[in-house]
Order: sequence, then structure tokens, then C-alpha cells
Amino acid sequence: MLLSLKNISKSYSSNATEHRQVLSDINLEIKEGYRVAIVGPSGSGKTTLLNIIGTLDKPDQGQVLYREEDISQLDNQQLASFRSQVIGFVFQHHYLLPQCTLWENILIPTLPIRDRALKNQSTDRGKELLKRTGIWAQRHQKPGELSGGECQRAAVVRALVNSPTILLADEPTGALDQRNSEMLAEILFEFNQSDKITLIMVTHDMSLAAKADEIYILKDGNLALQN
Amino acid sequence: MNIRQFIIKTLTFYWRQNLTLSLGIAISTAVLTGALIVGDSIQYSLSKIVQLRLGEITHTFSAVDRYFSASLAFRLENEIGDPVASLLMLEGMASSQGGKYQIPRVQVLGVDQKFPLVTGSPNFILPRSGALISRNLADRLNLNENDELLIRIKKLSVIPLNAPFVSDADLVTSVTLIIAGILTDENMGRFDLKNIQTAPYNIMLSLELLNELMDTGGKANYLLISSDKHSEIETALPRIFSLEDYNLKSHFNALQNSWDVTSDRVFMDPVIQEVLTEEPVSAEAILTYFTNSISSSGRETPYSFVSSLEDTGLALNEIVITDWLAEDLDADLDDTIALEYFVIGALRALEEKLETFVIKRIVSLSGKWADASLMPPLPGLTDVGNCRDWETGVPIDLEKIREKDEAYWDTFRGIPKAYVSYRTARNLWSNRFGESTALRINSPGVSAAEIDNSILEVIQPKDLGFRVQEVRSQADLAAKSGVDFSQLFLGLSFFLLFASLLLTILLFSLNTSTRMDQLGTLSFLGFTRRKIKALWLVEGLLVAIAGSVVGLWMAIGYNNIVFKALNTIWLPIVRTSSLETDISISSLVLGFGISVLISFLAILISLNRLLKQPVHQLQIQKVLDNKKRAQAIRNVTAYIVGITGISLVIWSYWQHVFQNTIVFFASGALLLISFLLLVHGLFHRKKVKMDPMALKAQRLISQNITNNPRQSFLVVAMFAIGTFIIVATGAHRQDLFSNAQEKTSGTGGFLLYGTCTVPILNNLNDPKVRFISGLEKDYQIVQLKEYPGDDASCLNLNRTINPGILGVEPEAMIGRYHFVDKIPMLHGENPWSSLHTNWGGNVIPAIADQSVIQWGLGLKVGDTLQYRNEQGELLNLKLVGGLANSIFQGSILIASDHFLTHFPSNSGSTIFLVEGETEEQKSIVAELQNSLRDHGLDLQASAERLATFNAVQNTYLSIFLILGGLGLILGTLGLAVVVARNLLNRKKELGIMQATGFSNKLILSLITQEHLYLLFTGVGIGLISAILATLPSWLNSNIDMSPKIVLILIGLIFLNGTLWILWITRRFLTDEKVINALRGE
Repeated sequence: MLLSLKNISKSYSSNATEHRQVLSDINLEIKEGYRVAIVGPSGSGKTTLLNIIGTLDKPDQGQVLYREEDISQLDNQQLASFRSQVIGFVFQHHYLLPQCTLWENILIPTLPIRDRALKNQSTDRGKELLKRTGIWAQRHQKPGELSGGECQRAAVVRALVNSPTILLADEPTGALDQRNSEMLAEILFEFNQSDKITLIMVTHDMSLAAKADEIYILKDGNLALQN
Repeated sequence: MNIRQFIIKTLTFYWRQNLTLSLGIAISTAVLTGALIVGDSIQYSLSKIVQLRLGEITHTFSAVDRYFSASLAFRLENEIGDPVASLLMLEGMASSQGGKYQIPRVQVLGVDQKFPLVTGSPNFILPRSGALISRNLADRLNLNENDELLIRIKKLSVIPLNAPFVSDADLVTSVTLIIAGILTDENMGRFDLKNIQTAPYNIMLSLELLNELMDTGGKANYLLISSDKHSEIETALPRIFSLEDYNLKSHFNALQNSWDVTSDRVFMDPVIQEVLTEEPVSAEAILTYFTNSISSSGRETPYSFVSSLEDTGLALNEIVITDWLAEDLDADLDDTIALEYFVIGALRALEEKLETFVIKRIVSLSGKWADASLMPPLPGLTDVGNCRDWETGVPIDLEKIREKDEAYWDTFRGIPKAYVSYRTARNLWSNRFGESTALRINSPGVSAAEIDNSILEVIQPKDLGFRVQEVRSQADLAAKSGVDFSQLFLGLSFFLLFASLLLTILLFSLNTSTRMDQLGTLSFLGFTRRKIKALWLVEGLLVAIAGSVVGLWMAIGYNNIVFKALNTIWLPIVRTSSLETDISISSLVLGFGISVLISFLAILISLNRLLKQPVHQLQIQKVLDNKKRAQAIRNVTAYIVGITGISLVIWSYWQHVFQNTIVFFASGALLLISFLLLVHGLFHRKKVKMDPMALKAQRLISQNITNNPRQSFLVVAMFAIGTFIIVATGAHRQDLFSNAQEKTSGTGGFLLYGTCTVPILNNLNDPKVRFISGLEKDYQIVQLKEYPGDDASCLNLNRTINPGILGVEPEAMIGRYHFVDKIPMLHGENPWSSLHTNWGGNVIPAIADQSVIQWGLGLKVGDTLQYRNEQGELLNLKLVGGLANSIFQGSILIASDHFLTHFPSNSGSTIFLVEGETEEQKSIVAELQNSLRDHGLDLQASAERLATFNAVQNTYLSIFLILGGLGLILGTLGLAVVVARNLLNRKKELGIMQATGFSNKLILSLITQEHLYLLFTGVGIGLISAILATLPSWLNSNIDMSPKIVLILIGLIFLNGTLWILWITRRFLTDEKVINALRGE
């Protein structure tokens, strides 16, 4: 199993009395190369779950196993390394750095890599991905000079430049129009198929979710597989 | 792309933000480094003034009010092989153009040919006749070369002026001299042995000429030495000191077959008598005194000398008389005769006393009973031809002098007519100047040289208070450890520095807040927190370095502006226009280093705080603050600190330290901290206690404030501290002339403060003296004695170790002045009376201005100051009380009786205070100036003198206000940053408001209210705390508190803040970008 979530619970408290259980004893197993969609109403904890998978947040209880290894036990340094090599993130907003060109933005994940060969490999992959996503021509432009769709495609390229195993997408099409949404979905699925990247999406877009191998519904803190 | 390129890209992309941030850092660097440069420059200037004052002089040798042979310089030079010069330094008055221009106090310096060598001034050419004058004197008296200058010089007197029977006539010598040249500062025009930065008025002439004018033969009172052989100087001087240098003479008395030692000072110094009467010299003390009359059975012999006898077997009430006297009085053995004589007290207070004796023996006025040398060498008495020409310093009734008395004088001069035992003589006539007029050594067989050597072997120059002073090293130390302008300007610029630092933090926070999502992005892209922090710190460090480099240039400009001001409008605090800029590399490096470090730390703290947030929170640009425990601790601290502040006020009332500024400032500051901590808690409380269902504008405002608690708090803190400092400072500005007539004020209720170059030897309140002096008006005069020392007032920038001492009659001070600090044993109702206390062991009480104690001397009440008294003994002045700002700044006050015990040679008074009606001030001044014109009188209204000192404090406060004002301008920039940031962050919210029908006016009102709330809170907290801090000023009669100044200052703070809020908000709202922000939604 590529990824296993075991008995994950997470709650938030805004003060001493108010306590809100967001995730309650969640169990989830994801196979390598799978395309998984997590849907649910707003505030149901979808993003929290995705953040826990992506090691951006920690559960109150439970374990996250990557290839049977408990990543909840990793320290900050190891987690950063884990995110750099294993996880790719795509959010509703592209979060490209405005000071850098599109190409520079794509190379930012390569900066923490010390291994020169690995770095060159990522750079080559970046070029390839830019071409594949159709934004090679715009590579020297800054995010402010590009459309939302182009920026979001660049964000996908940036997420994939270090050849991650898992791509986490949080409402990836949420800020895009229909045409750009479809184009982005196509790109995501194409990488999932061709590069065998496991895709975990959080979305409201049921047409997007419908294209997943497995759809999970998160409601009242509980996760259920949609049959 | 590598990390370096990434950082450069980021820096250049955010160049506007980085530029403003670096500007904030540049300002703090400029203020910090500028203060260091100001300090360096002042120290450099003071050191340069030391060089101008002393040249190459390293040591001096002198004693107060003592003179030695000028040839001592040659003898010492031969011993040590380094240049030594003799100096006769006297005081005088100078005038020109028939009195049109006058200076009441000048230094008249008789210098010898070695002076240029000792001072290292090869261009100094000593004229044979005429005088050299300093540039400032030439300017003040409007003199040029070859002009005439009239100087009146305090006459040199080896004999203390108030010693018994010393005439008070001819205290001044007047002479007109031609100006041979004008001395520049570089050519010893500033020569001065006092550690002070102000230039003296100097008149230099040859030592020979000055001695000639003084009618003295080759005297000097200073040796000027240029040598590094300190121990050789110390050991050589006792060896080469001659009897003449001790003002002693020995002569063989053939009549007595003995060697007699007499002093040019008339009375033998007690320390010399003590040493010489002991073994091995074993001299016999002789005391000869001038009596008003000797009478018996109705017959009287006027004005006779009576001397003492040792080992004659005379009882205390027995007397030996000459046959001449026996015949004159028709007296016989066992008859009783009466002696009337004057006892002379302080300020020549005469008390006539009578003592009766039984005649034990009648001796023939011949042989050893006709010893004229027993008469002490009294000028005006021993050197005049007949009795009617006597000038004795005591009243002589010429009508009493008979023909036979004149005949006696012609034949026998002052040969004593009677003799009492030495014990009796000492009991009756010993005084503070001595207990003998001669010492007799019964060694008939030895030579004069042997006698002199036997004397010189047992006495030391230090016994008479002579000291070798390492003037150069002391002056260098005084200059280096004087007023630290670096610290001073750092203190004065405190708020400016504080505001610029806060601005730096705010600007950095603004930068990070607009880029907070980038932290999250880098984090999910695999950057470790350490790496992200390193990236941002490098970026911050580069900005800090750039800002600090710019700041260094600005610091030089800041220093130039400060120096321009110090040489002009802020002159009262430096009192010299000789300030020069000196930029030391170390200060630049230090200022740069500290600025970079502080900025870096400010950035690091902001960044650490930010990076503690979970990554996903950074991603959505939200900073959480859930430190409930820390907030609880802060709240408890706030209450403790607040209660401590209030308790301090109550305690100070209870303990009667009612007007202790430090206590009130401390309590005000504690209250300020308490308020700020409470506000911090309030802003960090997420829930606003209001009906959650009712949406009111007030709720919106509160929520917006607490939404960004840190920024809101920083703005409140900045305004609170700014207001506190500015209002407290403004309130402490002293009204220079208010309540001057009150006895508890700094003037002591005295109308005038006078100084004299030539001491006033008599009591000016004595009706007879007043009549003779032509003082007719009804006013009281308090006369003070002065022992010279360095000026320890705020007017002197050098550190003083031994300030001048004033001897005062404590009774004249009862109920005057105000004590801000005193030791517990000080008399509660009449602290002045405690000055009479004598603790023994040469420890005596002293009072000084609190500012002198604290700032001039770096001491506190209860500490002890050490001096050498006239006998060379250690004298400990225990500071028992500190006065509130008074006219005595610069000196230490001790009781007059203690003063005369330890400085017996000090004669008369040179300082006096006049108590009179304000309406009569002009006529009193005119009368005193007319009466005391020969004394070099310098009269000043006491209020004016006090104002001179207060002007220094007020100037400091002005600087503080100006720099504080600049700080507030920066503070309002900080407010502007917060307003701009809030508006930027809430662009969409404002767009929605506009879209839903809010008019721009309404939005402007909401935003303005929100920020005015911060402004009001900050100013309110600062104001309340400042009122508490300035409570003593409101209650102190010396300080005229003006609520107007406070109100104007607060008004300006509000106006300034409001204008910024309105301007930025209005500009923002009218900008189309607000609506554009909604397009993205």
C-alpha cells in the first residue's frame, strides 16, 4: 500500500469551551497510481485531511503510513525532505512567487536539493513538463503577466518537477473558468496515467471527482467510500 | 537559478518595501551612530581644549595661598633635567577705554622665560614690558596691539589677609600696560589650570614685571613642569626646598645667643611649630602680640608688644615687665596690671578682651630684654617711622599715643614691654593662623647652614599643603570621563530610536504579511523552516546592511546638525564655540554593527514568531495567537506593576520624598507599562463582549482592531510612550524666573549673588563697616568663604573630582532652599544646622546641589568627598543633603567654622548673597557696585544665575523634545503603515462595503474611528502616566507648570495622527483598486 491513514482524528478549539471535532477516527488506504477524490460540504475537514496527508498539519491521533513507514514520527527536517521528494501540492490558488519568472518558479523546488545529478534531472523534467503543459513559450514571463489558467498549469508543473509519487490537489480548479478547469483536469489525469503519480484531489466539482478511481465522502468528521 | 539569484530577484522585486524598510533602519542607524559621533566629537574637542590649556605641561606644584621663590624652578630643572617654569598666577580686573569695557575677573599671569619651553609653544614670545592678552579678552575689551589696558591686580600677600594686625589697605595694585601682543588659542591664549572647557580671560606679563608690581622679590605660586619623571619630581622637591620657599627665615640672635626662626606669614604655621619644637630641633615657641593697653592703678601705656617666655617659672597670671613700663605705670612687684587686647575673629570681627596679671619681676630694658627681633614682621607696623603712621588692621586711637610712646618707638621700636609665660600667651592669643611668632633654637655653636639644614630635614612641602599635581593626566581623564554626550544623545534620542525601531518592525511585518503565503509555498515545496528562515534573514540582513550604510552617511549629517545647534542655539549646554567634529572609525563600526544587529534581531523576532505558525496557516495568511498562558502572565504582571507604581506614589508621600523626580518618573513608567500590558491583553482577546446578534459599527471597529492585535498594540505603545516622554519632558521645563523670591526656591530668597576678585575682609552687616563702606540702604548680606576648585555645575563638561568649597554660616540659611535628598540624621526642621556637626577624624558634613552630587560628581547623598586641607591632612566631606536646583550649583557647602579650621589662611569672603526688596534691586546694585568697585565686584540677580543653570536643563529638555517630536513623526509614519496595511488587507472587505451601498464617507468614518481609537488609547495611556510622573513638578514652587504646553503637545499629536489616517484612507477609497479587488472574487 502506498499510503495508509489509520485512526486519524483532528479537532480544533477556538477557546476553552468550544471544541470542534473535524476528523474522527479516519481510516484510508490508497494504492500507488490511483486517482482519489475526496468530496464533502464546506467545512467538513477536506483540506485538513489533505494537509495531514501532505504533512503540512499533524493529526491529534492516528498514523500516516507511507509505504508502511509512519511519517507522523518524522522531524521537521525529514518532513521537509519528504515533501520535497514524495509530495507535490496544487492549491486553488497557484501561489507562484511574483518576483520570479514562470521558469524560475518551477525551479524553486529544486533549490533545497543538494545532489547535482538529481537537480539536473529535475531541471530537465521541468523543461519537459512545461512543454507538455503548453506553457514553454511563456516560461520567461512573470505570473503577473500570465492568465490564471497558465499560472495554475505552472503550479502543477512546479508540483511535479521533483517527480513526486503523490500529487495532492486542493480544489485545483476552484479558481478557474470551465475551459481552464477542464484543461487542468486533463493535465492532472494525464500525469497520473503516464507517470503513475498517485493523485489525491479535494474538490467540490463533482464532474472532476467522477473521473477518479475512488471517491470518498467526508461528512461530520467521518470518511466513507462512495460506491 | 540558485539561492543567490533567488535572493537577488526577491530583493529587487520588492524594492519599494525593502527601500522603506532600509530607510527605517537608516534612521535608527543615523540616530545611534550620530549620538556616538557627537560623543566622540565632544570628547575630542575637550581633549583638544586640554592641549590648548596646558600645552606640554604635565605637572604643577603649588599650594593654596602660598608663595615660594621663583628660583625653585631652576633648582628643580637641574634635578630632573626637564623644563620647569615659574608662574605667578594672580587674579585681577581689567578695563579699557576709561572703564567703558570691563571684565571683573581675569587671570594675571607672570611667566618666566621657560614658559614657551614647558608649554611647547615656540611662537610664544615674552615681552620685556607690556602684556600679552588672550583673544577673547581683546575682543571683549575691544583692544588691539599697542592699546592701553588698565588692570587692577589683587595684591600678592604672603601673610594671610585676615591674620591679626595685617592692614586691609592697598589690597589692589593698579597698573596700565601696553598690549604687546594678542595670544591665539594655539599660542597659550587659553592657558588655564582649571578643568573646564570655557576659555579664561588671560593677561600675561613677565614674572619679573609682575613681582615688581607686587613689590615682592621673585615670588611664584606655581611650578609648571613638562616631564614624565613623576617620582623624581616628588622626591626632588623636598630635597631642594629652601627655608625661603617655606617663607621662613633664620637668624642668629646675639642677644639671646640662639638661632631664631621667623615666618614671613607672621604667625608660624602650626605644623612647622609642631615639628620644630620636637626633637631633634627642640625649638622654643615664642608668641609676641600687640596689646591695646597695659594699665595699672589708673595709668595706661598704649599699644605695646607683649611677648612670651619659656621655662621662667611664671604662673599663668604672672607677668614680667620692663623697668620702662614699671616706671610708666608707676608699678611695682606684686602689683596688678591689666592687659587689653583685640581677639580677631572671622571677617575681622574684633573683640576687645582684658586680662589681669601680677607683676612677678621687673627687668631692665637692656641686653636680652631689649630684643627687637621679637616684634613680628608686620607690614604697616614694623616698617614705619612713627606710631602715627601705623596701619595695623585694628583701630588705633592716635590720641592715646603720647610723646614718650613715639620716643620709645624711635629708640626701641617694638621691643616688648612685658612678658608672660608661653602657656598664657598661647591661651590668650593663639588663633587659626598659628600659636607662635618665632621659634628659638638654642644651638649657639652651629652655623647658619647647619641650622637651616636641621630645619629642612624635619619639614616637608606637603606639610604645608604643597602638592605635585599630574595636571595633564588629570585633565585628560576629566575630559574623557566628563559628560558622555554619546550616552546623553542616545538618551535624548531614545524615543526617536525607539520609534525608528518600531517602524522597522512594523515595516518588516508589513512586508512579511504581504508575502506570508510565500512562506507556506516554500514550505510545501520542500523547504525546511530553517532554510526559509535563512533565506528571509539573508534578505533582511542585506536590507539592514544597506540601510545601515545609508544611516552612517545620515549620522554624519545628524552630527553636523547637532554641532551647528550646539555651537549656536544649544550653546548653554556646552558654553564653548570650540567644538569640532571628530569621526572615529570605531564609532562608525560600532554604530553600523549595533544597527545591523538590532535590525537583524527585530527581523529575526518577527520571523520567528511568524514561522511558529503551522504551514497551512501561513498558506492562508493567517497568524494565530493562542498563548493564553503567556497572556495570563502578562495580565498578572500588569496588575502587579500597576499596583507597584501606585504604591510608590503613596510611599513617597508617606516618606516625604514628595518631590523626588526619579521616584515619580519610576512610578509613571510602571503605570505606563501596566496600562500597555492590559491593552495588550485586551487586543489579544478574540471575543468582543457584545451582543453577537447585533451588528454595530462599534463591533466592526473592535473586531478590526483585535483582528491584528500586534500591529494595533505597537501603534498604541508607540503613541503611549511618545506622549509620556513628550508631556513629561515638556512639563519639566523650568520657568526661569518663577517664585524666585521665595526662600524655598533655588535662589534661597536672595535678591543678588555677588562675586569678588579681591576678597571682602570685613563683615558687611557690621554697622561700622557699612558706614565706612558707604552702604546706607537696609538689606542683609550673607558672606561666603571660597576655597577654589573645579566648577562642578552643569556648565562644566569635564568630570570634576574636587569642586570648590564654600564656607557658609548655617544660621543664615535657615528655612532657605529645598532639600530633595538628605541622610536620616540630618536635622528635620533645620537641616542647615547639622553642618556644625563634627564627627572627628577630619570628617565633616557638607551640602551640595543634588545635580552636582549626581551628575557633576557621580555620587549620592551619604557619600564622602576627599580633599587635602591646608595642613596637608585628608579632609572628608560627607554629603548629608542634596538641594533642589539652586544658585550653589558647582560648589560644596560646609559650615564656616569647619571651613576656617581646615583652611585657616583663607581670608575674607569672595562670594556674597544679598537679601533685599525686588523694587530696590537697582539702587542696591548701584550702591554695592560703587562701594565695592575695587574688589572686582560682579553682581548678578540670583534668579538670573539660577536661570543660567536651568537654561542648561531646559536646553537638554528642548533637545529631548525636538528629538522626541521627530520620533513622533516617525510614530505617525508607523500609524500610516498600519493604516495602509489594514486597508490593503481589507481591500475586498471595503469593496464589498462599497458594493453594498456604504458611502465612502461612511467607510472613511469607520476606518478613521478605528484608528483614532488606537491613537486615543495610546495618547490617553501616555497622558495619565505622564501626569503621575510630573506630579512633583506640578507641586514644586520652582517649576511653573504650564498645562498650555501639555495641551498644545497633545493637540499636535492628535492632529498629526488624524491627518495621516484621513489622508491615507481617503486616498485609498478614491482609488479604483478597491472595486477592482472584487473582480477576483
